[in-house]
Amino acid sequence: MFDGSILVAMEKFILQIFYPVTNFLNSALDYLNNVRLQPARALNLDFFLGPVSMLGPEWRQLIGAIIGSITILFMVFIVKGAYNLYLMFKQGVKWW
Amino acid sequence: MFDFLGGMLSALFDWFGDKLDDLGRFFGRAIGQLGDLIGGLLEKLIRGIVNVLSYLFRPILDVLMGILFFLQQLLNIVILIIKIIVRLFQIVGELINEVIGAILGLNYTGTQAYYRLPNAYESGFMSVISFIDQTGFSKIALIFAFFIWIATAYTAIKIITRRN
Repeated sequence: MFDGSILVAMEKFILQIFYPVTNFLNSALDYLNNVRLQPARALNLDFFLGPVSMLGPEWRQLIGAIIGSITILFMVFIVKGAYNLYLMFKQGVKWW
Repeated sequence: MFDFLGGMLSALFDWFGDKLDDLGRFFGRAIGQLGDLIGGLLEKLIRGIVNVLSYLFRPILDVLMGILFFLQQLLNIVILIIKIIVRLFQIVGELINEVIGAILGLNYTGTQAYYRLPNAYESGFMSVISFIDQTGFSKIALIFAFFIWIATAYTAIKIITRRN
């Protein structure tokens, strides 16, 4: 009876308990590793804003202002989001 | 006469010598056997103690090893979770990079290379535009641009100072 059979039985039991969890996490990690992002595709607005560019230089400046506004707002939004992500990570580390 | 006495004495000494030799050999053998006996007893005793101790402590050691195995599996799961979180952050970072590339890639040079009107329509359109421009039509674009910049600044300040 005392020839290591207790250890074998305990290991079997523990593996039975942990097998679904580790399997699930491993499959999640596999899916995440298989994620491939599309490369960024730039948009050339010259293709469909020809009528506006025919209107005159002031209207071209207006389009440039709109594009700059979108860029600035998006950058600020992303920086704020990254900062929030950092705060979330800090809270998560505190929770660990 | 002396020869006879000398022979007797030498025989007597020989006899004594033999006896002493036997006695010494007997004692030596006895001590050796005693040592062997004690050594064997000690060996058996130690072996028995080891057997008894291993018999007693084997299940406890097994249980300890099982608990260590449990902790190992638990740490395995923690490591997997940390890997998943790190991978998620990596994917978010890549996504942000790609989106920044897409936004910075928006370009507008104002060329009319991709837009062609027939000549008659284009001349009419340009004459209409030049007539409208005399009334200050292009100032509307400048006013729009001014309001867009004001709105951009307002929204940027709103986003930066937002608390969540």
